[in-house]
Amino acid sequence: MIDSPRRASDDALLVAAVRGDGDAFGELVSRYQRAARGLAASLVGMSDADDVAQDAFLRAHRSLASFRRGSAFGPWLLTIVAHQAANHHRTQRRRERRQAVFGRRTVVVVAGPAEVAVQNDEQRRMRAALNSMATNDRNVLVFRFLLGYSEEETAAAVGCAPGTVKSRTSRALAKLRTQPVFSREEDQDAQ
Amino acid sequence: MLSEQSVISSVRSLATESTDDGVAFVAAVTRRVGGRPAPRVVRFRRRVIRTLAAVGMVVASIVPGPRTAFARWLGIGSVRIQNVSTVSGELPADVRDLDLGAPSTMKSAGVHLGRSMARAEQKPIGIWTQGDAVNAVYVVDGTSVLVSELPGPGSIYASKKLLDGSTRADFFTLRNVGAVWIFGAPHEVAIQTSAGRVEVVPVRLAGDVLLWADSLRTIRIEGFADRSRAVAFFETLRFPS
Repeated sequence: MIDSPRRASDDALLVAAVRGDGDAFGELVSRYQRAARGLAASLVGMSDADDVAQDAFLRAHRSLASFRRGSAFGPWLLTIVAHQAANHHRTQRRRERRQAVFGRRTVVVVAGPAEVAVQNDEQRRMRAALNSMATNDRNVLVFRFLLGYSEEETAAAVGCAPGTVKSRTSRALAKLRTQPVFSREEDQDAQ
Repeated sequence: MLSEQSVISSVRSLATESTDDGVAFVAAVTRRVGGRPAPRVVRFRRRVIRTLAAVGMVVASIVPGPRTAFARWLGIGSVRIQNVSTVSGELPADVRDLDLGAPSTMKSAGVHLGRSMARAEQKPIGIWTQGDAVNAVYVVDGTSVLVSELPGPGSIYASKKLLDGSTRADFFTLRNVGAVWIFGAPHEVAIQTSAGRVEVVPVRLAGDVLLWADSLRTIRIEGFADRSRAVAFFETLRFPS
């Protein structure tokens, strides 16, 4: 057991957590919960963010033994959050398909000003577009533009060369631009 | 043409900050982890499993008998499995990719449940096993209907996860045991297993649902828009011993 988890380094906490020290893992959760929940909220919306972030922490705990010592825990955890968010999105889509076949659709009316509803809808579609991208493409966009990492930091987080981050970012943005959420914006701009 | 900068701005607009102190969140995660040590790396075992799977696939692709058995074990639906109790007929495309579990047959589903599965007058267009459950899809008057059957005594918990608070549940008696018609809004259903655990039913849909449970099994019927039709369909079910 670690005597004072709050003063311990991430590495020391990780070693203790692997051995089953719940307080050590709790301290890691405490340190990174804000970033993880923020990213989850960005990718799946506020209502499901905590579920996704919790699942990401559990998944991280299951994989702690394979975590490379000396690497930064935060970026590793956040890639897991992004992955969980994409899984969550896929599950939601499957559930929607099931509803279409077996159940009546439930229409959720968003209360409030019309512009808020429109904005929410666009953000939902934007999240859907991001979550449906290939893992590598999604991760560079998440780290670069949602988390504000530099190219070098993103490279370290996703495990590739900075030059690869640059080309992958450009390619991912081009792919994202072809998504329906942007096509509609372009149509509106053209009008 | 929309500029790259506009796309970047849109992505950035999604950024959300978590505002509370996270105490409840940390407690929830640590409770779920439960002080267990992190699982050890099992790379060697995984490698062995992968190798065996690769060998199995090679064998499966060469010999017809093992090919069918292996494909069935893997749940590969593209391989045609000849079996007298396999239901014939083309599955609608919208049902085929619903992740209802591993494709099965009446016979295998019976083995899975530990007794023969419930049967309607008509044949199901598909049968799957998922967790403890057996899922069967019927087409009734042009509507796809999902019937899920779970083994074990059926204490029904209608644990409602509501979007708008309008889900309602009518409890009534059907064939002298308890049944419930849940309708209105999305919900999830949990069943108490014979071991006493309360588990969420694997296939969770958002439609109106009829739940019926006796001392041997729980039946869940989904796809009917009103209770009377669901009950009428239920009345056609037989439970062979």
